Amino acid sequence: MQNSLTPRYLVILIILGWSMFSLWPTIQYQSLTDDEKEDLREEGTLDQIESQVIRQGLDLKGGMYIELEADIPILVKNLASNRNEKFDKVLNASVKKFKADQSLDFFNILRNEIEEKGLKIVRYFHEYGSNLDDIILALEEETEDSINRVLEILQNRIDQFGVSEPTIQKKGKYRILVELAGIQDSDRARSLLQSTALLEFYLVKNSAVTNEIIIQLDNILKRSVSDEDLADISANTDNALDIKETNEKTDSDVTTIDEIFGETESMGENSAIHESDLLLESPIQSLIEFVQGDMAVNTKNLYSLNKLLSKEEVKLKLKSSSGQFLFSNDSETLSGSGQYYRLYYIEDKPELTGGVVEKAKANLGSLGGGNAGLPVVSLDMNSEGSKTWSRVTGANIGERIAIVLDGKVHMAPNIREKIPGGSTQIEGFADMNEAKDIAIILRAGALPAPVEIIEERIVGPSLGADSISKGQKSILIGLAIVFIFMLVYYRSSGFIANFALVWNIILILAVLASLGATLTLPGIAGLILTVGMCIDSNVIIFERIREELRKGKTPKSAIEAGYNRAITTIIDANLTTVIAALVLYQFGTGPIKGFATVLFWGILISMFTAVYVTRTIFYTITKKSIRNLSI
Amino acid sequence: MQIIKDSKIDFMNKSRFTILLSGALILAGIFSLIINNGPKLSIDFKGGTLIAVQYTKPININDLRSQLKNVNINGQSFDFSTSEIKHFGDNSNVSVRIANLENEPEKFSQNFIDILKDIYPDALPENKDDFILSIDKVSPKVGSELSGKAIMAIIYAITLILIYISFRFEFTYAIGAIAAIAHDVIITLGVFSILGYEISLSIIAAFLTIVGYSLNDTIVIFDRIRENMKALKRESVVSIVNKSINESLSRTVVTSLTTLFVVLTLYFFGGEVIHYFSFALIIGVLVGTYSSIFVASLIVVYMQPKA
Repeated sequence: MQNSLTPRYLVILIILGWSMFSLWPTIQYQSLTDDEKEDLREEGTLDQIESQVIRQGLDLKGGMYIELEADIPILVKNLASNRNEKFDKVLNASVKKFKADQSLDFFNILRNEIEEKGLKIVRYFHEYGSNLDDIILALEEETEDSINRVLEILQNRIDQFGVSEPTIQKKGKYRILVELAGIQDSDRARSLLQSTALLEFYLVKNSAVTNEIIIQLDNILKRSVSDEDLADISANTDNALDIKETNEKTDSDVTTIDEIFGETESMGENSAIHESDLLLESPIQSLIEFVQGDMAVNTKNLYSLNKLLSKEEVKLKLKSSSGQFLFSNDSETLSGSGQYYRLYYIEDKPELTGGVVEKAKANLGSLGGGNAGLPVVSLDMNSEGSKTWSRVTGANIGERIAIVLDGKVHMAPNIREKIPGGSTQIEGFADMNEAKDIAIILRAGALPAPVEIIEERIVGPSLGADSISKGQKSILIGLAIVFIFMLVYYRSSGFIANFALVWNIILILAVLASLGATLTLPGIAGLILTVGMCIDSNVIIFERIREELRKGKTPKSAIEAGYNRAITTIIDANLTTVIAALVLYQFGTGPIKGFATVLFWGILISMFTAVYVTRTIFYTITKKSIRNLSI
Repeated sequence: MQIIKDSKIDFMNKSRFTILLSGALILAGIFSLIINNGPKLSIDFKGGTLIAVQYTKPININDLRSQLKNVNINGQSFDFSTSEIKHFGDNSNVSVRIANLENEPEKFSQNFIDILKDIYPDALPENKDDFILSIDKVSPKVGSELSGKAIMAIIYAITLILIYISFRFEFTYAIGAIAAIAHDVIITLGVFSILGYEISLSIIAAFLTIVGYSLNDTIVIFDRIRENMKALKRESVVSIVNKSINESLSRTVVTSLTTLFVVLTLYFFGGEVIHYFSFALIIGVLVGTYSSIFVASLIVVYMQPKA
């Protein structure tokens, strides 16, 4: 068996090589300074790197964990038409039972209640089916659909909130789980999640005004980029002067900038990354391209542009010009390479808000109209909305109106004629699906059901930092004690065991990195516990070898016998712990799952490092027959 | 180096004493659990709000308690002086646990934190973000779900392990192992109850880890017993079990020590968040090592068919 050790060396080398390979991004990432990370983020490559490193859990970096649940009874109530007292009675009775025992399924309770009271359910839900079974099934589907809509709305809002790496997932059928890293203002986050969506109609400013503002902003930025500190100070102290100066400068610059604009457009542009000299000369313009009459921003430049737009001096200038920049809701392929967001310069006050929309439906344009057979979205507004709408459209024929939901522009059609009566059709969709999506978003303007926060955990940044430093400290101390103990107790063999232990930890981290796992404080605890338990395999083996040596065997045969006899013990002992770890993982909510993941992999990997790797080392040592084994 | 050399301790003969010891520990734990109406559950299982904040000066808990006697939030007045208020790690850090409130005012936790700020305005950290250490808020609904899940987890774990051991060894061994686990968990639960420590989600994880560790230890000894049963057919069960325990005693001691070292470092250096978690593990390692010898092995001896 130990004649040729080459295959063993190969296996070990390959696995060790793999572990270094998957840990490499993490090591690289750790060595980055904040400034370097910022640069990478501007380049748009940071996300890709971050997906390959071991991430820190919220308990380590601080953040907010929220679990929301949709109010199903209210949702059902909203779906019913022709509601009357009899219906409310049945619904209330079901709600009461549901509240008493949350483990029951609401729709089962409702079904039983309906059957018991003999309620003619078809009366209220004739659109959903003609018998109880069909209706309950349709209601269940509708509910799930609503949860998906809530998820979509929340996703939009959180993106607006500007948190890095947010997690938004469905949990079970009716729940949504949100994780936000590094949130300070938990109240703002909470109300953002719970408030209803906002639909707004803004007038889009015409292209002359838009060009003008970009030139002005670039001039402001140019100054602040060249002398950042000075710009910061002037922005805080003497804004009026700042703006005045900028305006003067602008007049003389107009022609040259227009040339640049023309040039960019005619090139029909597809180079995504800005040129550096252009960036210095006109930072905003260099990030914007003109496509199909709209301004567009490559996704790679989105962060940089957002950063520029969120600078104090830019905000101030925009405020004084009563305008704002908004992006389109989704990226699209506009020119040769990459994904683009459209950018709109619009009024800062909406003409109309979504509260006035009563219905939104996607259909095909009616025969005889200009849009016959084309997909359109029909909106119905209430009387107040209709009046405003007719006034706004009448006064701005030929202008564009931006339909903005949750701060993102969904479309900006041209106003062709005055629209009286409040019912309006939005056209210009690529296909029916797009029209349907828009209708969904318009309908989703308000959350379909109220959501309730059922679990909320916030870890402040100082506690997180404290946990990291203490976790690291206890790992180092724990390891040091075990190392010393093993060296004293088993001498040279203890060194081999320690060597295996180090590899065990490295391999666990490598597996975590390649799984894209998150390291939490319980995870660190799991790692430390694994250290204690992994050493057990070597203790079992070494004690066996000692026994065999005492019987008078040579080192070589003692090692062989020791490993062979220890292996069944190790497998039985480890597998039971693996079972416990698997159950923990299944049961686990966040923190426990992290602990279980590390424990599970730690034990599996220990079978490789503490048995296979150490055995190979012993074989190598005893290749030449030695008299004494240091154990 | 060797701590234990050729030991020949008659473990099974000590059973009278150990049965008494285990019995006393279990009874004390159960007694404490009964008079306290079961284990003290954290907000993870009962629901409620736990707020931990950081002041820059040591805080007197009794003073804070009296300050929280009459608190006004949005025109609604509350008495939080009966809430559990204690130091959180450091004595300048404070945690307050508030039971579920009926008609909870809007933005409750934010309001409550503002109140805590106003009580000691000159003991606030310079960076105001550092004041909040953590906020945990669990609705009673989630709490009851988690309790259900925790119970299911323990049942699943025990069933699976029972099946595994019956398959690898014999059914009597499985009974011995399960008895050892029950022994360990009840004693740890009892210690927590006597000391007034809370059972939270992470403590449940610690319990399952104890289960894993205790089993690991038990199985190493069982493995030796199984091996010796085959080799030494003529000897009595008691002497085989004694011999097996003695043969693996060195390993038992070394492993318990190394594991104890790391768990102790976690306890002393791991910080407030995993303090109780590592405490549970310390008890678990001690009791788990003891139970593999004096509970699991003893039951195997008693349940072995007398030849």
